[in-house]
Formats: sequence, C-alpha cells, structure tokens
Amino acid sequence: MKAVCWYGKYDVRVENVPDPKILNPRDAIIRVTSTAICGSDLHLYDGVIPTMEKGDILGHEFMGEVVEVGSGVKNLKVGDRVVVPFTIACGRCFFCNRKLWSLCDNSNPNASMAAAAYGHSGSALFGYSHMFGGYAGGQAQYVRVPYADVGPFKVPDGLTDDQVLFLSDILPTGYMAAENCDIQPGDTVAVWGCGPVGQFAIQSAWWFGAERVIAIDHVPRRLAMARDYGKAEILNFDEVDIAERLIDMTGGLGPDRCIDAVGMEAHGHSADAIYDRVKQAMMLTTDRIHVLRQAIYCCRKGGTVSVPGVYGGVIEKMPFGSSFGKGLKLAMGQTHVHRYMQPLLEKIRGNGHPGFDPTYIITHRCR
Amino acid sequence: MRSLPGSQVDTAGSVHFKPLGKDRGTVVKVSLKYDPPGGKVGAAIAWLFGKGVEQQLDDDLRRFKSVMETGESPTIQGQSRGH
Repeated sequence: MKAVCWYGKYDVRVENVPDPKILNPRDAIIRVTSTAICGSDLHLYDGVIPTMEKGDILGHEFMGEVVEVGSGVKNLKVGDRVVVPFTIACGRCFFCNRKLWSLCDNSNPNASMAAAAYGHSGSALFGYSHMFGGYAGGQAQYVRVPYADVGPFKVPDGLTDDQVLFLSDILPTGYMAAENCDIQPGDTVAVWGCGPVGQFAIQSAWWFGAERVIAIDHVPRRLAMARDYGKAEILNFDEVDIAERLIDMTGGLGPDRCIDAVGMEAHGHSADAIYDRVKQAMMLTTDRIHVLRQAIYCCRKGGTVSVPGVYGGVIEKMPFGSSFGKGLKLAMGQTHVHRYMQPLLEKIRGNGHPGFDPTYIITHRCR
Repeated sequence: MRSLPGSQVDTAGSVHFKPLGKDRGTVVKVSLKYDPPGGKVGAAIAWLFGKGVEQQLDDDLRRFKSVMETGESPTIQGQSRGH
C-alpha cells in the first residue's frame, strides 16, 4: 500500500509499504477513505519531536471501512464505516474505566520510556513517535487499529466523510478545551491560535454559553475564518498588542477563560530528548511558551487557562507567580476523544434542527 | 521461589498479590534476590546489572498487567513501515 512516511526534518515521502496485518486478537484493519493533517503533525515535520524513526508512518486523523477483524473483536464487522480516535485506549484499565481514555495504562508498548520522562505514561497515539507507542498512522491506504472493540466509532449513513472525519481529533479537542474552561454565563473567552483546533474551540465556547469570544492569530485567512464562521472578535498579534487590547476590550478585567490552542511551537520549538537517558538528556526550552505565558498574564483573576495545545518537554520562565497570585485554574491534556464522539455526532446530525457543519475548516485537499 | 539448579544466574524471590479494594485493582509486588554473574568483577558492576534487572522486571510487570486487564500485550512488532 502507499503511506506517508517520515524520514527526518522536513522530509516526508509517500512510499510503497507492506499492507498492515492483524497482530493481536483485538485488532482490526481499516481501509482509509479520508485522513487529515493535524497542527501537531507539523512538530513531526519540523523534526522537533524526539523518538521518531525513519520509515515511521504518519497520521492520526482518519476514518474508513473495516476490512478485517481479529478474533477478539465482536462488535465490528467487515464493511462497517468508522471514525477512529487518535488516542489508543484499551477500554479496561483504571483510566479507561473512568473515561480518561487518553491516559490509558495499557496501550503504549513503550510505556516505561514515557514514564521515565513524565512519571507515568499516557495512552499511545497513532503516528506520533515511539515514546507514544510507535504505532503506524493513518496517512495511508490501510491502518491496523488496536483495541478495535473500543476505539472505532460507527458512523451512520447520510453523513459524508468531510462531515465526520474531524471526530477523530480536532472537533473533540476544541470541545474539550472549551469544556475545561467551565464557562459561566457572561464570560469572555479568548482563544489563541486559529488553526483547526482553535476554530472548533471558538465554536465550542459558544456552545458552552460564552457571552463573547475573542480570537487571536496573525494569519489573515485564519482570522477571517474565526470572524466569519466562528463569529469571534479577532485580534492580529502582528498589528496590536494583545495584552493591551484584551484589557481594553474587557473593561480592565481580562478574559475570564483563556484557551491556548497553539502549543509548543508558538515560534518554533526546542525538543527535549526523552529516550532512555531522560535525566541527562532533557533540555530546557527557551521562550517557546509565549502563548501560554500571555494567556496566564492576560487572564482575569480567578479565571481559567485551558491548554489543548501540545507541549512535550520542560519549560523555562513559566509565570507561576502570576498563576498563583491570580488564583488561576490550569486545565490541560490530550483529548479524551472517545467521550465526545457521540455528543458531537449529535450536533452534526442536528436531530430536527440544522446540524453543525464542520466542513468550513477544510481549505486544501490532496489525493 | 528460586531459580533452577544450573541457571546462569541464581535468583530467589517472591510475588505478592494484594487487592486494593474500592475498584482500584490489585497490587503485584515482586521481590527478587539474585547473584550477579562474574564473581568480583561482576560485583563491581552489579549496580549496572541491577538496573537492567529492574528494567526487565518493570517491562515484565507492565506486560503482565496488560495481559490481565486487556487479554493481550500491546505491540507494534510486525507492523507496516517504510524502509
């Protein structure tokens, strides 16, 4: 089959590779009908995520048709159309039982490597380096999906791939970011980053009852999308001082809830080498938490900073004094995708009302 | 338990299972005593050897937990990749 493979910094290639096989009884093989590129894929492309190996297949946002099931999978059959969460969850551990799917104890075969870096390992991810399991990803014609009785989400007829593909990652991610804010009536929510996650965080902020949503970026097309589809007030950080404008726009209070949908590569990034020799190999990042810092600084006292943006390593100059002094709540983490797929499908379907159409997010297509 | 006579490394130890109650599972505690190979030279680098044994034990216990909880051990051996 053909697959998008990583070979180094700025070096990805479409290669002919072996078709995937069932390796464990709870596996299934999916024929991919649609797949997307995530903002976090850029960290892989930019060569700043450690523990990648040449030939690794990329991609963690995908959907398609079941073509084979392992002997342990009873709830899926060949021909089923499914969207697959990017986080791999076993469905049976302490964390999966509490619906903390992205913190699964069992899915990462390299859990001891991640635990050396982080204290404990979260779940494995598709196509996102060996520290997170090294699983072959979904920018390919076929994918092997482990714990296929837990992850793959069956999609009803009558919805196109475009409408449901984003249930795999970015729509739940934006949604969970807004949910983590604990938005109260009257709240102003500021969203840094108008990429796909930011766009869906903006939409989700309205769903959770925000009074105002302010979107921050510097790419004109992204700001226009946030304004036209997201109905957000927009700020271009190349043109205005964000801190000043946010204070001004909120009568001196600051936004009640701040969402960092940018993550570790706010202006590029420095990597932490986290493989086996963790304590020696960790490098301190410098000045890459610009957005996180600004969100903390700008947030009103007693507010919430919600971080769906991906961070990998150790940071410097974290304004923890500000966080403490203002009594902020910080909420963060990889998305518990499995939790949100059904409720978000309902929003897309509409159930008698006009459904939510996420397809505005699509700007480019490749075949 | 102890290792069989003629093993490369003599080991002895125990495994204890203790339920945690309140839906929190079972703790598995492994206690392992071993004589590192290589006599005096072996003893000098025994701490390094010990790190290896601890890592091996850690990996084995993770695999055991996976098999007990999920019925299988997570793997990517044999998966598709580019060359």
